Amino acid sequence: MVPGHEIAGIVTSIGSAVTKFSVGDKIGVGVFVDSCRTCSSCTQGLQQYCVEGMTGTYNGLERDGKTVALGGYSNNFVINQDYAVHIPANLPLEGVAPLLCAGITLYSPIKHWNVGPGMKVAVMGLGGLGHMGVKFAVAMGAEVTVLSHSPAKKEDALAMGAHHFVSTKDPESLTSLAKTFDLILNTVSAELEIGDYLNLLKLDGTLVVIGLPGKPYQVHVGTLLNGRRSIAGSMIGGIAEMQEMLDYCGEKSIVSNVEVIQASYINEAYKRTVDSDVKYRFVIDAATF
Amino acid sequence: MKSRGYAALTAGSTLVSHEFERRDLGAHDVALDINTQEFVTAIFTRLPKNGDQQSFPWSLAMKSQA
Repeated sequence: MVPGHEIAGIVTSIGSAVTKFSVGDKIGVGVFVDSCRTCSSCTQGLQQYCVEGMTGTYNGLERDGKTVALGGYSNNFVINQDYAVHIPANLPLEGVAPLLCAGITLYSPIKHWNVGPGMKVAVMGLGGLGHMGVKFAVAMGAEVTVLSHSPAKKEDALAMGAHHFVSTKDPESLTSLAKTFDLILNTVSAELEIGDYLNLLKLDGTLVVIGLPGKPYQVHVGTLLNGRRSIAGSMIGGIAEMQEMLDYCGEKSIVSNVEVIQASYINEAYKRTVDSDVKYRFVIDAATF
Repeated sequence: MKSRGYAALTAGSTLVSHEFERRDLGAHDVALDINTQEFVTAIFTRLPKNGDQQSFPWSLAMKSQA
């Protein structure tokens, strides 16, 4: 298996029918490289929710149903033009690569729930996903609070533009935030008492689950009834929205915080990532493959 | 197209340097030289073991293997 998605590079050649790209363009590839193109999701530009299933960039099945996709841990790649995006010329490729998964994973719900001035947004967890949520929500004018189990991340959170930082190590820290937020973006994959966070939503507020906990949440329905609250999910974004996000990042000069590594460091980076010892994404320099 | 990268050659193994072939450029395809490649363990750490697709977060959204 050749793993890897979130690929940033330069176009070296194009097929005879390609109109979207030219040789020399900066180009990005995200989590999927194909989909059925005909279902209700695909025709809306929501290929990530393809009814037949998207073709993952690595280890997924191509549309022929038998060819296994080979990912981006390599020096080159081939993709259908419809499933690649343009990277703005002013953005560094190493900072863009994580936008193609972590970035769009936060950008999509932030847009879907109309984050903007006057809204209070909480971001649960300040990791590879969460730090992009902070950057986007701040850029869109919301008042942003980071809820983190790691007090040491306060300085980083504020440097990214967050207006408030609350350590959740003390369970009482959440009490004073009851009925505060319009939207909570939950990027935490660790198990937690989700009801403690639903209580932080104001009337008609929504908690969007983005992280993937190992066990199902237990939700007391009364917590939802009281305040007409919602709990929802969101998964990456479609091609058009990815392009919209990258154009927005180019306009606002938003990139991911990264640590660039050599290919020979991959296995060590894996261990460090499992230990949450990365600020905030590892990016492999593909010239070292 | 010849490619040079890193791969897991068996289930559960670490990644090693590997050379392989990609498909040839089709009429609607674009070829690129990769400059950077994000290291994403959100997916990488959850590769299915023993065919347990439910533990693989994207599996429900991906075209599944037979």
